[in-house]
Amino acid sequence: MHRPTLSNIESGERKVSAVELKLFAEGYKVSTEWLLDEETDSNSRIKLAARKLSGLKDKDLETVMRIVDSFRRNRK
Amino acid sequence: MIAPPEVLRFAAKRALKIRTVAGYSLERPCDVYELIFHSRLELQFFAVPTLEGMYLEDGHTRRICVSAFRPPGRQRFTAAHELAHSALLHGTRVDTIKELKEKTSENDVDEESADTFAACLMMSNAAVHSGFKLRNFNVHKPTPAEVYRVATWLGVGYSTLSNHLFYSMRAVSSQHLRQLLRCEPKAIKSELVRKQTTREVFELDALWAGVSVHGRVGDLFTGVTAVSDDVLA
Repeated sequence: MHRPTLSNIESGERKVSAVELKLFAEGYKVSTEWLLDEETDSNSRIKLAARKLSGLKDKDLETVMRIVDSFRRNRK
Repeated sequence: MIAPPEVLRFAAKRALKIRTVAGYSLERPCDVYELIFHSRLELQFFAVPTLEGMYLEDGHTRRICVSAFRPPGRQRFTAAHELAHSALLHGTRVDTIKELKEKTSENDVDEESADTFAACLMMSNAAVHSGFKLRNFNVHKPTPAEVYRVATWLGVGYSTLSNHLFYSMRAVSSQHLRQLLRCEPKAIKSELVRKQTTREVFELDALWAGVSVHGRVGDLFTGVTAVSDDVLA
Protein backbone atom coordinates (compact mmCIF):
# COMPACT_ATOMS: atom_id res chain seq x y z
CA MET A 1 0.00 0.00 0.00
CA HIS A 2 1.34 3.43 -0.89
CA ARG A 3 2.28 5.90 1.82
CA PRO A 4 -0.25 8.61 0.73
CA THR A 5 -3.02 6.00 0.95
CA LEU A 6 -1.97 5.16 4.50
CA SER A 7 -1.87 8.86 5.38
CA ASN A 8 -5.39 9.29 4.00
CA ILE A 9 -6.62 6.33 6.07
CA GLU A 10 -4.95 7.68 9.21
CA SER A 11 -6.49 11.12 8.70
CA GLY A 12 -9.92 9.61 8.08
CA GLU A 13 -10.10 10.89 4.51
CA ARG A 14 -10.26 7.37 3.08
CA LYS A 15 -12.30 4.40 4.28
CA VAL A 16 -10.83 0.92 4.60
CA SER A 17 -12.42 -1.94 2.71
CA ALA A 18 -13.15 -5.29 4.33
CA VAL A 19 -10.40 -6.91 2.26
CA GLU A 20 -7.87 -4.28 3.35
CA LEU A 21 -8.93 -4.64 6.97
CA LYS A 22 -8.28 -8.38 6.78
CA LEU A 23 -4.88 -7.75 5.19
CA PHE A 24 -3.96 -5.26 7.94
CA ALA A 25 -5.03 -7.79 10.59
CA GLU A 26 -2.91 -10.51 9.00
CA GLY A 27 0.06 -8.21 8.49
CA TYR A 28 0.10 -6.92 12.06
CA LYS A 29 -0.94 -10.31 13.53
CA VAL A 30 -3.98 -8.90 15.33
CA SER A 31 -7.67 -9.58 14.94
CA THR A 32 -10.04 -7.43 12.92
CA GLU A 33 -12.01 -6.92 16.16
CA TRP A 34 -8.89 -5.47 17.79
CA LEU A 35 -8.37 -3.06 14.88
CA LEU A 36 -11.99 -1.97 15.15
CA ASP A 37 -11.66 -1.60 18.94
CA GLU A 38 -14.55 -3.95 19.55
CA GLU A 39 -15.28 -5.65 22.86
CA THR A 40 -14.47 -9.35 23.13
CA ASP A 41 -15.06 -12.07 25.63
CA SER A 42 -12.40 -11.95 28.37
CA ASN A 43 -13.13 -15.49 29.51
CA SER A 44 -10.92 -17.09 26.89
CA ARG A 45 -7.84 -17.21 29.12
CA ILE A 46 -4.43 -17.72 27.67
CA LYS A 47 -1.17 -19.02 29.07
CA LEU A 48 1.74 -16.62 29.45
CA ALA A 49 5.35 -16.86 30.58
CA ALA A 50 7.48 -13.79 31.21
CA ARG A 51 9.82 -12.51 33.85
CA LYS A 52 9.73 -9.45 36.07
CA LEU A 53 6.44 -8.07 34.81
CA SER A 54 5.83 -6.72 38.30
CA GLY A 55 8.74 -4.32 37.77
CA LEU A 56 7.42 -2.93 34.51
CA LYS A 57 6.30 0.65 34.13
CA ASP A 58 2.52 1.02 34.00
CA LYS A 59 2.68 2.21 30.40
CA ASP A 60 4.68 -0.87 29.33
CA LEU A 61 2.42 -3.16 31.33
CA GLU A 62 -0.58 -1.76 29.50
CA THR A 63 1.18 -2.42 26.19
CA VAL A 64 1.81 -6.01 27.29
CA MET A 65 -1.84 -6.40 28.21
CA ARG A 66 -2.84 -5.03 24.80
CA ILE A 67 -0.60 -7.62 23.13
CA VAL A 68 -2.19 -10.34 25.26
CA ASP A 69 -5.65 -9.04 24.35
CA SER A 70 -4.84 -8.90 20.65
CA PHE A 71 -3.50 -12.46 20.81
CA ARG A 72 -6.69 -13.61 22.52
CA ARG A 73 -8.97 -11.80 20.04
CA ASN A 74 -6.96 -13.01 17.08
CA ARG A 75 -7.76 -16.59 18.07
CA LYS A 76 -11.51 -16.11 17.90
CA MET B 1 14.27 -19.84 44.55
CA ILE B 2 17.15 -21.70 42.89
CA ALA B 3 16.28 -24.31 40.26
CA PRO B 4 17.16 -27.89 41.29
CA PRO B 5 20.04 -29.40 39.24
CA GLU B 6 17.78 -32.10 37.74
CA VAL B 7 15.44 -29.41 36.37
CA LEU B 8 18.36 -27.65 34.69
CA ARG B 9 19.73 -30.95 33.36
CA PHE B 10 16.32 -31.73 31.85
CA ALA B 11 16.21 -28.27 30.21
CA ALA B 12 19.71 -28.77 28.78
CA LYS B 13 18.88 -32.23 27.41
CA ARG B 14 15.64 -30.96 25.88
CA ALA B 15 17.51 -28.15 24.09
CA LEU B 16 20.14 -30.50 22.70
CA LYS B 17 17.48 -32.95 21.55
CA ILE B 18 15.40 -30.25 19.85
CA ARG B 19 18.35 -28.85 17.92
CA THR B 20 19.50 -32.34 16.92
CA VAL B 21 16.03 -33.43 15.78
CA ALA B 22 15.77 -30.20 13.76
CA GLY B 23 18.95 -31.19 11.92
CA TYR B 24 21.50 -28.89 13.57
CA SER B 25 24.72 -30.75 14.33
CA LEU B 26 26.10 -30.00 17.78
CA GLU B 27 29.23 -28.47 16.26
CA ARG B 28 27.28 -25.90 14.24
CA PRO B 29 25.26 -22.79 15.19
CA CYS B 30 21.53 -23.24 15.67
CA ASP B 31 19.35 -20.63 13.93
CA VAL B 32 16.70 -20.00 16.56
CA TYR B 33 14.41 -18.02 14.24
CA GLU B 34 14.45 -20.87 11.73
CA LEU B 35 13.77 -23.32 14.54
CA ILE B 36 10.80 -21.25 15.75
CA PHE B 37 9.44 -21.15 12.19
CA HIS B 38 9.79 -24.90 11.72
CA SER B 39 8.23 -25.52 15.15
CA ARG B 40 5.16 -23.65 13.85
CA LEU B 41 5.38 -20.92 16.47
CA GLU B 42 4.64 -17.29 15.70
CA LEU B 43 7.36 -14.70 16.26
CA GLN B 44 6.52 -11.08 17.03
CA PHE B 45 8.75 -8.12 17.83
CA PHE B 46 7.07 -5.66 20.18
CA ALA B 47 7.73 -2.12 21.29
CA VAL B 48 8.18 -2.59 25.04
CA PRO B 49 11.54 -1.17 26.13
CA THR B 50 11.54 -2.63 29.65
CA LEU B 51 10.63 -6.23 28.80
CA GLU B 52 12.99 -8.65 27.03
CA GLY B 53 10.30 -11.03 25.81
CA MET B 54 7.35 -13.23 26.64
CA TYR B 55 5.61 -16.41 25.52
CA LEU B 56 1.88 -16.76 24.82
CA GLU B 57 -0.24 -19.79 24.02
CA ASP B 58 -3.91 -20.63 23.96
CA GLY B 59 -3.89 -24.34 23.21
CA HIS B 60 -3.96 -23.83 19.44
CA THR B 61 -1.42 -21.12 18.78
CA ARG B 62 1.94 -20.40 20.36
CA ARG B 63 3.61 -17.01 20.00
CA ILE B 64 7.04 -15.76 20.99
CA CYS B 65 7.30 -12.02 21.56
CA VAL B 66 10.69 -10.29 21.62
CA SER B 67 11.48 -6.65 22.38
CA ALA B 68 12.42 -4.65 19.30
CA PHE B 69 14.67 -2.47 21.48
CA ARG B 70 17.47 -4.98 22.05
CA PRO B 71 20.64 -5.79 20.10
CA PRO B 72 20.25 -8.69 17.61
CA GLY B 73 22.26 -11.18 19.68
CA ARG B 74 20.19 -10.43 22.75
CA GLN B 75 16.98 -10.77 20.74
CA ARG B 76 17.98 -14.23 19.50
CA PHE B 77 18.91 -15.41 22.99
CA THR B 78 15.58 -14.09 24.27
CA ALA B 79 13.77 -15.90 21.43
CA ALA B 80 15.53 -19.12 22.50
CA HIS B 81 14.56 -18.42 26.12
CA GLU B 82 10.91 -17.98 25.14
CA LEU B 83 11.09 -21.12 22.96
CA ALA B 84 12.10 -22.93 26.15
CA HIS B 85 8.83 -21.95 27.79
CA SER B 86 7.05 -23.73 24.94
CA ALA B 87 9.33 -26.77 24.94
CA LEU B 88 9.26 -27.14 28.72
CA LEU B 89 5.51 -26.49 29.01
CA HIS B 90 5.88 -23.38 31.18
CA GLY B 91 3.35 -20.62 31.65
CA THR B 92 0.50 -19.51 33.78
CA ARG B 93 -3.09 -18.54 33.00
CA VAL B 94 -3.63 -14.79 33.11
CA ASP B 95 -6.48 -12.48 32.32
CA THR B 96 -5.90 -9.14 34.01
CA ILE B 97 -3.02 -6.74 34.61
CA LYS B 98 -3.18 -7.63 38.31
CA GLU B 99 -2.74 -11.31 37.46
CA LEU B 100 0.09 -10.43 35.09
CA LYS B 101 1.96 -8.66 37.89
CA GLU B 102 1.32 -11.29 40.54
CA LYS B 103 1.67 -14.58 38.70
CA THR B 104 4.66 -13.82 36.50
CA SER B 105 6.92 -12.51 39.24
CA GLU B 106 7.22 -15.77 41.17
CA ASN B 107 8.47 -18.51 38.91
CA ASP B 108 12.25 -18.07 39.00
CA VAL B 109 12.78 -21.82 38.48
CA ASP B 110 11.08 -21.68 35.07
CA GLU B 111 13.12 -18.62 34.13
CA GLU B 112 16.41 -20.21 35.17
CA SER B 113 15.68 -23.44 33.32
CA ALA B 114 14.66 -21.40 30.24
CA ASP B 115 18.05 -19.65 30.36
CA THR B 116 19.81 -23.01 30.59
CA PHE B 117 17.78 -24.28 27.62
CA ALA B 118 18.65 -21.16 25.59
CA ALA B 119 22.36 -21.41 26.44
CA CYS B 120 22.51 -25.09 25.42
CA LEU B 121 20.51 -24.45 22.27
CA MET B 122 22.69 -21.61 21.02
CA MET B 123 26.03 -22.28 22.70
CA SER B 124 26.41 -26.05 22.94
CA ASN B 125 29.88 -26.94 24.20
CA ALA B 126 30.70 -28.62 20.90
CA ALA B 127 29.63 -25.57 18.85
CA VAL B 128 31.60 -23.16 21.03
CA HIS B 129 34.71 -25.34 20.92
CA SER B 130 34.53 -25.83 17.15
CA GLY B 131 33.90 -22.09 16.67
CA PHE B 132 37.22 -21.33 18.33
CA LYS B 133 39.24 -24.39 17.32
CA LEU B 134 38.44 -24.35 13.60
CA ARG B 135 39.49 -20.69 13.44
CA ASN B 136 42.71 -21.47 15.32
CA PHE B 137 41.60 -19.35 18.30
CA ASN B 138 42.56 -20.41 21.82
CA VAL B 139 39.27 -20.93 23.70
CA HIS B 140 41.12 -20.51 27.01
CA LYS B 141 42.62 -17.13 26.17
CA PRO B 142 40.60 -15.59 23.36
CA THR B 143 40.99 -11.96 22.36
CA PRO B 144 37.86 -9.76 22.41
CA ALA B 145 37.78 -9.76 18.59
CA GLU B 146 37.90 -13.57 18.57
CA VAL B 147 35.04 -13.83 21.08
CA TYR B 148 33.06 -11.32 19.03
CA ARG B 149 33.57 -13.34 15.81
CA VAL B 150 32.50 -16.60 17.41
CA ALA B 151 29.56 -14.93 19.19
CA THR B 152 28.30 -13.47 15.89
CA TRP B 153 28.66 -16.89 14.24
CA LEU B 154 26.68 -18.54 17.07
CA GLY B 155 24.09 -15.75 16.94
CA VAL B 156 24.56 -14.51 20.50
CA GLY B 157 25.88 -11.30 22.02
CA TYR B 158 29.52 -10.68 22.90
CA SER B 159 29.02 -10.49 26.67
CA THR B 160 26.65 -13.48 26.59
CA LEU B 161 29.39 -15.69 25.12
CA SER B 162 32.07 -14.15 27.36
CA ASN B 163 30.03 -14.98 30.47
CA HIS B 164 29.20 -18.44 29.11
CA LEU B 165 32.90 -19.18 28.61
CA PHE B 166 33.50 -18.57 32.30
CA TYR B 167 30.31 -19.42 34.19
CA SER B 168 29.13 -22.46 32.20
CA MET B 169 32.20 -23.87 30.46
CA ARG B 170 34.96 -22.77 32.82
CA ALA B 171 37.06 -22.28 29.70
CA VAL B 172 38.49 -18.89 30.73
CA SER B 173 39.65 -17.55 34.08
CA SER B 174 37.71 -14.93 36.03
CA GLN B 175 40.54 -12.50 35.35
CA HIS B 176 40.28 -13.14 31.62
CA LEU B 177 36.50 -12.69 31.78
CA ARG B 178 36.98 -9.30 33.43
CA GLN B 179 39.37 -8.32 30.64
CA LEU B 180 36.86 -9.41 27.99
CA LEU B 181 33.98 -7.55 29.64
CA ARG B 182 36.06 -4.37 29.84
CA CYS B 183 35.94 -4.24 26.02
CA GLU B 184 32.82 -2.71 24.52
CA PRO B 185 31.38 -4.47 21.45
CA LYS B 186 31.21 -1.05 19.79
CA ALA B 187 35.01 -0.69 20.06
CA ILE B 188 35.59 -4.24 18.78
CA LYS B 189 33.31 -3.69 15.78
CA SER B 190 34.92 -0.35 14.97
CA GLU B 191 38.34 -1.99 15.06
CA LEU B 192 37.21 -4.80 12.76
CA VAL B 193 35.99 -2.42 10.05
CA ARG B 194 38.46 0.38 10.88
CA LYS B 195 35.75 3.01 11.31
CA GLN B 196 33.32 4.05 14.03
CA THR B 197 30.15 1.96 13.95
CA THR B 198 27.40 0.77 16.22
CA ARG B 199 25.94 -1.58 13.60
CA GLU B 200 26.46 -5.32 13.56
CA VAL B 201 29.65 -6.44 11.86
CA PHE B 202 29.70 -9.90 10.30
CA GLU B 203 33.17 -11.20 9.55
CA LEU B 204 32.19 -13.97 7.18
CA ASP B 205 34.70 -16.79 6.87
CA ALA B 206 34.55 -20.32 5.48
CA LEU B 207 32.80 -21.58 8.63
CA TRP B 208 29.76 -19.47 7.75
CA ALA B 209 28.97 -21.77 4.83
CA GLY B 210 25.45 -23.07 5.39
CA VAL B 211 24.84 -20.74 8.36
CA SER B 212 22.04 -18.17 8.01
CA VAL B 213 22.96 -14.49 8.35
CA HIS B 214 20.23 -12.31 9.84
CA GLY B 215 21.56 -8.94 8.78
CA ARG B 216 19.70 -5.65 8.90
CA VAL B 217 19.96 -2.58 6.72
CA GLY B 218 23.17 -0.78 7.67
CA ASP B 219 24.98 -3.85 9.01
CA LEU B 220 28.50 -4.40 7.76
CA PHE B 221 29.96 -7.52 6.19
CA THR B 222 33.61 -8.37 5.75
CA GLY B 223 35.17 -11.39 4.07
CA VAL B 224 32.67 -11.37 1.21
CA THR B 225 34.68 -11.40 -2.00
CA ALA B 226 31.92 -11.93 -4.53
CA VAL B 227 28.17 -12.17 -4.59
CA SER B 228 26.55 -13.94 -7.50
CA ASP B 229 23.46 -12.61 -9.25
CA ASP B 230 21.56 -15.67 -8.01
CA VAL B 231 22.00 -14.50 -4.40
CA LEU B 232 20.85 -10.97 -5.20
CA ALA B 233 17.84 -12.11 -7.24
